[in-house]
Amino acid sequence: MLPLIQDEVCSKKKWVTDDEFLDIISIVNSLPGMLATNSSGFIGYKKRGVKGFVTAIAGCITPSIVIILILATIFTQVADNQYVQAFFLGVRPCIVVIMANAVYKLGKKVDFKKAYNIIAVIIAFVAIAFLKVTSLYLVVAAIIVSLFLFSINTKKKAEEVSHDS
Amino acid sequence: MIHNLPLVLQLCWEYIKISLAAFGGGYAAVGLTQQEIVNKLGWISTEEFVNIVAIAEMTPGPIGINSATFVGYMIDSVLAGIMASISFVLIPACLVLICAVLFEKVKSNPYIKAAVTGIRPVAIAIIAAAVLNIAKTSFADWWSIIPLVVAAVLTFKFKKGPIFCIAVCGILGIILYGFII
Repeated sequence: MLPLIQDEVCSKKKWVTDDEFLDIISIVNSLPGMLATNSSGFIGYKKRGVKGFVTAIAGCITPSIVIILILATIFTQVADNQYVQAFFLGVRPCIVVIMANAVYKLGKKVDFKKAYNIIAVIIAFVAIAFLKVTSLYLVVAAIIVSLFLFSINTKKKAEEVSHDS
Repeated sequence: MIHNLPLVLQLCWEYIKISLAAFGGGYAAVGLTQQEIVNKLGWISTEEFVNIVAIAEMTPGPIGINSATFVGYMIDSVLAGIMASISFVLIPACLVLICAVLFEKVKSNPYIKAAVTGIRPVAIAIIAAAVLNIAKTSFADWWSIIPLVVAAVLTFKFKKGPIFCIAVCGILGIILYGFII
């Protein structure tokens, strides 16, 4: 989705420059929620303030909501059809693969040589999959722990610098 | 309009919580929905949910919104689907507004970068746990290995997109389960 948005926003409509777009994406990546709606809202605010923000987000979600509601109504009508059921029996393993691919793509971005990453992944996975811990708590814990580690690291580096000088 | 208002309001609250933890994009939202709404609350069966995810993948738009709308509709009504989607974007949208206003200060904040990097392993775990749960009910019988292998080859070797894989596997499903079995 990202290249589509970039093409439309930077090349065609020229609402923001490529550099501004990169800045926006890096901020939006730090936020929960979806990239599409978050970046649209951001650009909407930049161009037309709060009105632009609201319009952009509404524009982002409305087509999806409408299309899905239409499809969902159709789906519930045909769900009993044996061929429809056969179709979805075939699709289910495919969804497992698609989500495994999402795990793989996210995994590539993570440096698993760092102790924190390996430990966090294992603890989080065991907690969520087997101990039924609510994921939100783990996200909050991850934020606290990584901020804590970061501030320790920064202090260490500051001390090293002052020792050298 | 709405059949069960307390249920729908609770659904909206669940989606607000999901939206706060969804740091890995749409798939994290799907994974979180699987854990909370399907697994813990049992408002939708895993099989139904996988069908929802499949349709949400095939339609244009972010998978997070698509699945939220569908889940709301399946649990209650059209209006519930709309409310679920709005609940899902509400808080992230507010955070976006705050960041847009404070743009310069947020732009290169190293603390934010550190926190985001720290969340990534958890996001991976969230989706991986969902994969595990979904896998438990996604293989009807030994024939399911065929669409599994086909999907894996298409996705990992040929880098085909999800819509193509779903279409191929769906047709395979019709052939296998509609005619052969």
